[in-house]
Amino acid sequence: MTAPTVLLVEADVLIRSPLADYLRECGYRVLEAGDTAEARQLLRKPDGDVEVLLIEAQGQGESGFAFAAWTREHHPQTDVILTGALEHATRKAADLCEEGPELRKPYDHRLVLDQIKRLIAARHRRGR
Amino acid sequence: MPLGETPRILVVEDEVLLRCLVADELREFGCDVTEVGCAEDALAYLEAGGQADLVFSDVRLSGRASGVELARELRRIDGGLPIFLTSATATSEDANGDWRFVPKPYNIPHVIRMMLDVLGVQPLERRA
Repeated sequence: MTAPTVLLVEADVLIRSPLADYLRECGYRVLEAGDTAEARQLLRKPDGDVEVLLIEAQGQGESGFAFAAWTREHHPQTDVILTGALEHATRKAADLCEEGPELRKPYDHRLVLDQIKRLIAARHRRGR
Repeated sequence: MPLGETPRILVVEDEVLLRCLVADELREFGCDVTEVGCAEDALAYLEAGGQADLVFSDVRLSGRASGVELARELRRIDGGLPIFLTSATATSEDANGDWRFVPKPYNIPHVIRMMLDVLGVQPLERRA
């Protein structure tokens, strides 16, 4: 059986990468996009078959709301999950894992949150 | 790298469909993959404590820095980090640096075997 595909749209690699890894551990195939332009290309992939779109509501550039509306119109088979702050995004990822192809979550979503916070804190310490 | 450890590959490619293709194939070979679209994100990821055993980057990137500039910065940070650069239009500067150069178009499984060989990892039986 093919793993269900989640398209994760998040500009910040320090957030996107741990969240994507977590969802993969839950058994999903995860496509990663840094913005909505990339996400559009991935949705149009002939073998894309994206079942769930996970996107921050208030991202940089085109908003998640606008992109969600576009997705509902052009890819109605794709479920859209809008996220808010980081904590909300990790909770939504955990909810997805609850419904996902694996029977259990690989680890508590709060560990993902802690990992992301550590990465972001390290970036701030380096002044980026 | 130590026997039995999962190779961690950082893929830097601004063409999302190609990035996705390469990353998916690397995962099929059992690698942990981090995907970024520009040199700045690659450096942000590594400087925040993200790990990579090898970096595979396009030369032409959409951000401020090119793949060659990224490779030079990575060399400064870690002289031993294996770096693969790729481009369809290589200049002598692209091809003759302190890194391995892969001309585009390339055969993805072949390039992955080259990467695993450099890391001293037995080319695993693709998962799918």
